[in-house]
Amino acid sequence: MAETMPPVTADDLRKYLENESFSVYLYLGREADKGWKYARIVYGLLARLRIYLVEDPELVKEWTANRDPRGVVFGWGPEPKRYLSGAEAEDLETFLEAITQARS
Amino acid sequence: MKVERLVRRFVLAAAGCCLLLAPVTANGENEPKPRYVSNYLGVSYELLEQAHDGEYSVPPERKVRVDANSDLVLKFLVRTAKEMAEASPKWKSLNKALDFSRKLVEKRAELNAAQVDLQDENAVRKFQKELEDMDAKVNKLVTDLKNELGIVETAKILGGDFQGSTGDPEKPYDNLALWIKQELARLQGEARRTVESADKIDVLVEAYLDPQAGELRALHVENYDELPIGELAPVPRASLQLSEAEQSYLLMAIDMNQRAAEALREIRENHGKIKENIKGLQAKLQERLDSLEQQLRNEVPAWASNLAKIIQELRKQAQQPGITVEKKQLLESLALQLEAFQQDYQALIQPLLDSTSDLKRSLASGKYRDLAEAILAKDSVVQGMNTVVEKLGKLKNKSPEWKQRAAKIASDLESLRDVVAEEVRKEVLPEKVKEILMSLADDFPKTYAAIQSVWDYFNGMAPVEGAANTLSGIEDKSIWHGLTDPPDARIEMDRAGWRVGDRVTVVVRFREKDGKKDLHKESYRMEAILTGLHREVSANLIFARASSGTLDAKKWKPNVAALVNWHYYVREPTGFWGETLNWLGPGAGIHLASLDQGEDSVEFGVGANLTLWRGLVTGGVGYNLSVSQDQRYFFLGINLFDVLNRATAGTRGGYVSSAAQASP
Repeated sequence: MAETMPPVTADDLRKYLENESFSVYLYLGREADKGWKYARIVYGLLARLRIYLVEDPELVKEWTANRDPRGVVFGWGPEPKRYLSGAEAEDLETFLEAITQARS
Repeated sequence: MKVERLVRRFVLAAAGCCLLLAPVTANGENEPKPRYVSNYLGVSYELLEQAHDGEYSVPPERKVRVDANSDLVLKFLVRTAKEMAEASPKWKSLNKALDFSRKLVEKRAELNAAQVDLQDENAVRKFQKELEDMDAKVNKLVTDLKNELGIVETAKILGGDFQGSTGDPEKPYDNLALWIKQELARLQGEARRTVESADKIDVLVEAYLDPQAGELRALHVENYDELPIGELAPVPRASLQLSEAEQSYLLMAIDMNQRAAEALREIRENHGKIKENIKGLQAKLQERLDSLEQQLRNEVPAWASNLAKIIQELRKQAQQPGITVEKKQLLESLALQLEAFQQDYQALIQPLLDSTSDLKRSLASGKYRDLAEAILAKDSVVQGMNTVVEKLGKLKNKSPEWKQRAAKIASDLESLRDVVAEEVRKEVLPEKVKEILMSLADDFPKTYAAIQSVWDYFNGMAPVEGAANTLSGIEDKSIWHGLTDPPDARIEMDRAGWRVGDRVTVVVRFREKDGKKDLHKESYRMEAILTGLHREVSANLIFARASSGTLDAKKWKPNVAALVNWHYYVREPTGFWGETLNWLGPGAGIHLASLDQGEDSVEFGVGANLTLWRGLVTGGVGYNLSVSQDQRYFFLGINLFDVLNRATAGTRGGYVSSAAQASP
């Protein structure tokens, strides 16, 4: 389901990433952003996808590695598979492709 | 001897083709036949060829071959708004997308609810594979939507951001289903409005026969006109009996070939430089026409422009003192003869030369690929050609009179030797002009007849689009029907009086009930053939020679033969051999030929022949029945009608069997 960080913490996220039957997507931005809307659409389309709206980037700096991305795409494991720019996160086709490729 | 070898080789080659290809009679496999259904305002219609070997759908706006004895039936299917909406491709694709998304919703729920043993690595991998499969299906759904609507619209629909909806982006399948339902309702509304508007539309089915020999005419279409039904006259498939249409074609073809043969003889006799051969027939006619024009242009204009001065001179001479009454009368008669020439020149020769120049300019402009296209194109040279042929006809009719007049002038001048100075006499009728005027009458009529015959053929080939205009009076006999319940239209081709090679066009017209304004038109173009084993009757221009005998008998001479050949046409060729058989069109048969090998004025021969390309080229051997020795002869023949038909292929296009059409 779509959740927000905080209240979800980095520890929570670390735990969720351990579950290999789910994949994770982090969106760093605001609730009203087009990129977050697309994340919710893709969440509704695919099964076993967890999405988090990261309002405090400090919480996920362990996974962003000072890249300042808009989106962080995980596959079935705890390591990020792809970082998305603002433009990529706001293009439904590119975004969906990035998520499904990370899960394949 | 070279040509004799050529005939022998041709006969052997044709025989080989017949033997090799005759067993290739396999029809198509049991593949579904392509259907060509058109739609207009909720009405579907399809033209069906109901032939002896089955029913075939005829594609519109393409040229196809149909069996000459088939019925052509245009079937209408009126649909309700619901049926119409459901038949539309968009309706189908929307429902397909709806089904697909329903399955994905179920699958998503199932996978989200699944319990996976995370300790079991294999179970996790298997589950991930299942998720990947679903991901691929989701990708396909989004890609299909994107291709249909664009990615922006797709995102709006999935996000629930479309007219009348502010859906939850986390429920894209629900949003999509809602949008699809709205679209389906819109399509139904459109279909209902379309069906309602059909009340205001009428439909008509017309058919025209465009024979190879003769004029375009309307055919009776059952339920759609009050034209005569026509007599049942199927085209004989294999028997030697001739239908009425075939008889009239044969007479016309024999006449045309006879004229061509005579023109060739005339050209050979009068212009020894021009050698006869089959290939150059058209070129030779053109050459003959050019030669005539050159004669008229080189000598006659200079003489004609000088005539006024000569006439004045002769009349002045008549006023001289000491001229006897008899000589005065002769001088006046001479002046009158020359005045008559002057008038003829202005009325006939000058306009002919002008028209010929105009026509040649049009033809040389590069606008047309060949003469046939020049004649059949929308901005054709028909008018110019008509003018030239008409003026040539008048010239031909006048030429015997000129011959007599030129002889009279020559004899009058002889009598006026002591009155008219020699230099004036030379100017009155120069020797070269005299020769031209004297020779025209003998030199030209047969060439003209051949040109006229070919021109008559082309002239009868007005494009069918103009049929409605050219066949005035047909409109009064038409029966229009409302689009709400149009009856099927049937054209019984075995009552059309057509023959193999003739063409028929069926036109479906839709117009406003009130305004009578044409709204939509669709045409079906067909050529008559006989499928399977059948015979074809033709008349050929032949070049025949005796195999032994006098030098004259062994000369290749142009003549005419009536032939009957048996062919096999594969309706649905599936492989190389079937297609080759149809392309090569080999046949074998018998002939009756007119010959010119002995002393008799009328000679006939009979024999056997083999042919390729459905009778286009024929070679054979026969026995001259009018001579007692050296009876055997060879011949090579060409079907002039077919040559002219093929010459027009650039503008009229090739025809293929309706069964051989690829799916649209």
